[in-house]
Amino acid sequence: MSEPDKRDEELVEALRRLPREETPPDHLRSYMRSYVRSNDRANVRLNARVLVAASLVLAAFAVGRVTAPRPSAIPADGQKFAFLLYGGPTGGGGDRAAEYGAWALELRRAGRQVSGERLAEEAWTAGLATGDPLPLRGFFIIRAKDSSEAVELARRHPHARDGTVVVRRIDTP
Amino acid sequence: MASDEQLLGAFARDRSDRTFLALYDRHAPAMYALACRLMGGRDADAADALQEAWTRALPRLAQFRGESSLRTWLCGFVVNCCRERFRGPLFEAIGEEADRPSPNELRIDLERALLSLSAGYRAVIVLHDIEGYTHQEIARVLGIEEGTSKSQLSRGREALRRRLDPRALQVRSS
Repeated sequence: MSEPDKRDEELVEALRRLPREETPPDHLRSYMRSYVRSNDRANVRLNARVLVAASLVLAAFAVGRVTAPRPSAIPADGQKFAFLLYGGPTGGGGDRAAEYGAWALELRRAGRQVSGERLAEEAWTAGLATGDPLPLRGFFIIRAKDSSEAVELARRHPHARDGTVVVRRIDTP
Repeated sequence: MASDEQLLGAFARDRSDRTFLALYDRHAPAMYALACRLMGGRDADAADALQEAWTRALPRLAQFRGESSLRTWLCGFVVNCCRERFRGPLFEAIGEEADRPSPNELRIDLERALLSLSAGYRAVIVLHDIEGYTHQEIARVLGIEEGTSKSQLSRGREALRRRLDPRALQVRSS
């Protein structure tokens, strides 16, 4: 065996001894559990909708009218809004983060653009102090057709239960 | 203990989070270790890639045909998600070499040395030498030529050796 082959063998042997597993962060497990649950609920809802729609079509057909359900209007080119999440419980990890993730996921699955981030506790100020009455915990960017729809979505955000969600339209064209 | 096939069958029937978590708990640690290495030790990016991999795999679990092991199939999603997370091309020219690590315990040295490699070298070494992929499989999952995979592996191993204390491998293999 040539010298380079032997050196490769030693290296590969050492590489194969490296641990093949590492425990993922706990919040991922919580997130995936919520994801599977919301997926299942969405399937149940979808099946129920299909059943209701089929019944309606059959009923309409029976009386000589065919009624097709109108597709829901997801704004493809509406306006962008920021949901600023103030106050609420501290920490925000584990199930809480998973709950927020599930909220965003449900909207995404309905075809709506949503993104968001959680903010760390530390904050640094440059320039004049803002005097925010409550700490800003995180934010979401979401597309909605107008401010009324955005506010309605914000009301359903889990943070609105015990925190404040401020809705601001994003002014950048 | 239920086999992967039994769990997949059970999940197809009940769609319950309990059954899913049995699959998750079995395979996520290996998927996460792979993601951590491919992402160069950037844990947050690795966690994002793992989450993305599971959310992509979940609706396709019913399509799993057993042509490979379930773990290999799931790891394919991880590789794709990690690949997409690199803004630039995965196979870029090798950058500046990091400082040679201090000669501590081998595993730490080797792990650190591995993470300090360029993304292209690291990906091929991780997939070939640690995960056991063939060059053909690497070429397919990374979208490169087989020849590129071979040359990257050879150069990557050389770069890895340069970063390691020469005694580290000999001590363990003696």
